[in-house]
This record gives sequence, structure tokens and C-alpha cells, in this order.
Amino acid sequence: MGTVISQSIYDSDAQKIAKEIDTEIKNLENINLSWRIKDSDINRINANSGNFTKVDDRTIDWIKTSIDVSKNCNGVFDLTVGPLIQLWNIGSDDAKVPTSDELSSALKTIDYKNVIISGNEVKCGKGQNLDLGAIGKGVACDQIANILDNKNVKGATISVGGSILLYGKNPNAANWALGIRNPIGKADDYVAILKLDECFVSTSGDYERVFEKDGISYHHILDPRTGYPAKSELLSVTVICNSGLLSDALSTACFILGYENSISLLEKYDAQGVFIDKDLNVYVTKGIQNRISITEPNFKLVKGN
Amino acid sequence: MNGKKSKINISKNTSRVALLGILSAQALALSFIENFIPPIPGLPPGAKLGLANIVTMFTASTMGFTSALCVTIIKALFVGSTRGVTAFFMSLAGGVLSTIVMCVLLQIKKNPFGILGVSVACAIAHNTGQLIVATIISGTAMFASYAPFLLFFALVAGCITGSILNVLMPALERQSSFFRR
Amino acid sequence: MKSNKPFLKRADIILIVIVIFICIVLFLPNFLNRNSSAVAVVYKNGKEVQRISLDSVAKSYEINLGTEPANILLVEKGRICYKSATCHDKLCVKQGWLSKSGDTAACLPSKTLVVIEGQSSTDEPDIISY
Repeated sequence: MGTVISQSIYDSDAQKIAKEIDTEIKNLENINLSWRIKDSDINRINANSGNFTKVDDRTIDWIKTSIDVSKNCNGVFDLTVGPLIQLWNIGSDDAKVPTSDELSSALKTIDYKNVIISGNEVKCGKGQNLDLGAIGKGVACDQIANILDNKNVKGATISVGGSILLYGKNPNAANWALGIRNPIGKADDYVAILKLDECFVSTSGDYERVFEKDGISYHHILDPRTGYPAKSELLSVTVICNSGLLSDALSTACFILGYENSISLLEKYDAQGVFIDKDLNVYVTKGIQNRISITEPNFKLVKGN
Repeated sequence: MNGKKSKINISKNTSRVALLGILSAQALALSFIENFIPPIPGLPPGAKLGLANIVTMFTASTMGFTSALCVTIIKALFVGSTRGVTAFFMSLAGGVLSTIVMCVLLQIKKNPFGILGVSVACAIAHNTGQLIVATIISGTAMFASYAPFLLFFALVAGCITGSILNVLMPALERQSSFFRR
Repeated sequence: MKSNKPFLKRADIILIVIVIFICIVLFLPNFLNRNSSAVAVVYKNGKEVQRISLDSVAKSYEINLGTEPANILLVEKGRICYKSATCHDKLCVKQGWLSKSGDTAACLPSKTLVVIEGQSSTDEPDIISY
């Protein structure tokens, strides 16, 4: 995963627990998720496209949930975007703008409906390529929550890349205070504070990974319908949910869908969201309207329905 | 040949190198000793008295810039080999800046400062050099908050080293004169 | 060779007085805040990652900063310190307890810093979304 993990574990055994978490993250990458590591579940499914491959139970669960989300958002989030992502390769040194021919061949393979689960085996369509990169960090947070459960930890804040786990109770206050990052500011600038209880938080923004060529900026949230970075009126979406995987998947989907079209999607998963658009309006779903306070003058709060 | 002349006829360069060697060793020893002083809480970690500056200042005033620079570099290498690369650059930066300041002050024809003033200026330069290196290495400006502490500590350290130098001056000069015979 | 180097001249005293004056000016903000409750601010790579209101700490706990070399902070009511570190010098750990505004401890190899600030601010986030 190669991402930064920062942890604050409020427990006397914090050191030992932190080590366990690091080990778990490595296992996730090696065994299940990485499309780079040869023997990972995802890689074996991709290598064996068109045929069934036996994989770990947890991988099956994650694929099942991913298919479910893909269905509910009409493919805006799609676990088969592998070829598209690899074409652009944004975030690495080989990032490039693909030709329209390259894009149409890649787009042809993208269709979550061709991913079939049978028992403990999974098959993707011939030529398809699964990529769970968009949800990997959320999945990690889910696993970390399990570890913390086993250790009876009272409270912790964990961040894997940009996916956040707010676990248990804040020892310093009544609830956790989450800062919503300023999408047009530096990494530690925040525009609002959300008071939250235990939950998972993911943010998708056009500032996270950007690639510039010939004066045009391409961000990394690709729209599987067009093949290009999503043209959204949003600068960032923050999704709050009771599952890390879902918060990751939903934040990607909501960024592409825009505020209006995301509301029913979030309701389906009992999730909440904070949307910041290009005019610095901050739209907040009903469930968290009373928990947010804007701290930056130029941003306007708009209470959603 | 002539009984009146000294029997030992070492060339000037050799005796200079030998003296530098002794001075460097003394600088190293002082640097080593001051590590045993426990860090005082409230002060930035790694803040050192800079006792080695006593030797460097003496070298600068009696043997010139290049000689003082030699002592500084040797001391930095010693620090580097015992405490790591970070410490090497900290010591080098502080030492070089401090050496430059002391030489500038000592070269000025009408130097207004006595030993105490030069010591204090050196100590401040030393800490400034270290702060700059710390900022560059960490790539952040978070060490700027240390500035007031470092300034005050440099003042105290400068007074202490200046006083010690003042006391040791005759002894150091005697040591040097041994090499000039 | 100058054997008669004067120790103290007028310029020396002026220099010292100026330095003391600058120090007082720089220290003033800290002294004015002494009586407010203490907030520990943790920086990683120069960015603020956490604010801890030390007075509202009920039970002591640890924080793993997740750096390389590793740093573990120990937070107790009213004070905080580097409990352990895997860096070479362990100067951070040797700094001991930080409790009063202005107290600092840092680990240069892992680029972390802990500073005690004066104001107790209940309006700072525990974590910021990315």
C-alpha cells in the first residue's frame, strides 16, 4: 500500500498493538489486495481472468460489497477499473495521458456485472482486471478496528493514507473532533470541525494525486464512464460510515456523482457526507448537520435535505 | 653545528602541524567531556556548552583562520564518528559559522570586543548554525520556536567559555611557545 | 601573539545587554500564558498532527507516532513526555516531562516535535481528514 499510517492509541499497551497493526497491514497487501504482488488474491483472479479462482474468504466479502456498491451507484464506482487506472498510472513517475484509442479499449473491459462469485471462488470476465486500490485503505481500517476490538482498546484515532478510523471514546473529550481538510489549502488547514462518535471517514478530493501535462491538471479520480478524471463541481467529499470499505467506495462514487446525485446513495448505506464545491459551499447531509461548525470564513454551510 | 642554536631544528610547518594536532586533541577532549553534563530540561535537546570553542578561539586568535578551521573540522568528524551523521552536520555548521565569526571579529583592526564578547558572539553563531542545519534536515520550520532558548543559552555558554579561556590563556600560550622554538 | 587580550570591554557589556533584551522580548508571550491550562501540540514533519489538552486527561495513555525511528509519547494528566524512541541519541526521551508552556522536546531523526502551548483550546481537531 505504501501509504502513511499514523496512529494514536489511547491504551497502556499501545506499542504492542501498533506493531500488530503494522503486521496486519502488510498481510493485507501481500495476501489479499495488491495487484502488484504476484500471489495476492486479486492478482491471481486477474491472471486467471475468464476462469474461477479460489481466494480467501475475506477477499470474497470485499468483492461482494464492492459489487453491491457498484450496482447501487450504476457503475460510477466499479471494481473492474484496473485497466483504466494502469493506463493513466497517476501517482507514479510514468503517468501519462492515454490516447482515445487506448481509452476506448480499456473502457470496454470495465463492467462489474461480469464479476461472478461462486462459493469461495471468483471469476472476472476475460480481459478484465480488478483493482481494489480505491478501497484498500478502508479495508485496512476495518481490520484495524477488529484488532482494537480484540485488545479492548478504549479509544484510538488511526489514519491509513487518507482513510480514517475513529475508534471507541476520546479520552480527552465527549467525542472525536474531525477536521475537514481545506481542499484549497495546505494539508493541516481545516475549514470545519465535525464532532463524531466511533466511525470510519474517507475523503476524495481533486488535490490528492495530481498529474500535470501541457498545462492541464489531471486528478486521480477517474470516471469509468468517460475514462477521464471526473468532471465534478466538487473539490472534495468526505464520507462518514460504519465501515471503512464503504466509506472509501462511497467517497469515490460521491465525488464523481456530485452532491445532488449522491444523497440517495448515502442514504442507502446509512452514511453521511460533507461536500465542498468549487464555490466553497459546504453541503452537509441531515444526520450530521448539528455536529458541524465551520471555522474558515470563506466557506458557507448549506444544510442538505 | 653551533651550540648556541637550538639542537632541535624542526621546520616551521611541522611544528605548526604538531601544535594543531595537540589543539585538536584538546578540542576533542573538551567536546567529549561536555557530553557528560546532563541535559537540563527546558533547553533544546543537544544544546551543548561548546567548551571546544575555548580551543578554537585560541587557535583563531594566534594561528589564523585556516588553522582554526582545521580544528573545527576535526572536531566535527569526531562528533560524526561517535554520534552519527546528523550530529556531524550540526557540529560542522555550528563550528564553521562560529569560526568565521570569531576570525572576522579578531581581524578587525579596532576590535571593540574583549574575550567575553567574542565568546558570546561565537556561541550565538554556533547555535545559529545548528538551528539552520536542523531546519534544513527536517525540512520544516518547527525548530524556530527554539530560538529564544538558544539565544539565552548561547549567552550563558559564551560567558562560561570566555571566562575559562581567559583563565587558561597563559597556559595555552606557553603550550604554543613550546612549538615555536 | 597577543598576550594581553582584554577580557571585558565596553562593547562586550553592550552586546550582552542587547542579547538579554532580545531574549526577554522573545520570551514574553510564554510567560504571559503560564497560568492557562496546558495544551501539548505534536508536530510531525513540521505539520501539526495532534493537540492534546493535558488537563482533561483522565487516565494516562501512550501515542505511537508511527515514525522511523519510532517515537512513543506518554500522556498523563498535566504532562507529556517521549517515553521511548529508537533513535541513536535519544535526546527526545532525555528531555523528560513537558508540562509548562514553552517546554519542548524533539526527535530530529524522526522529525517530530512536542511543544507545550499556553492556551487550552477545546476547538482544535483530534485529526484532520486528508
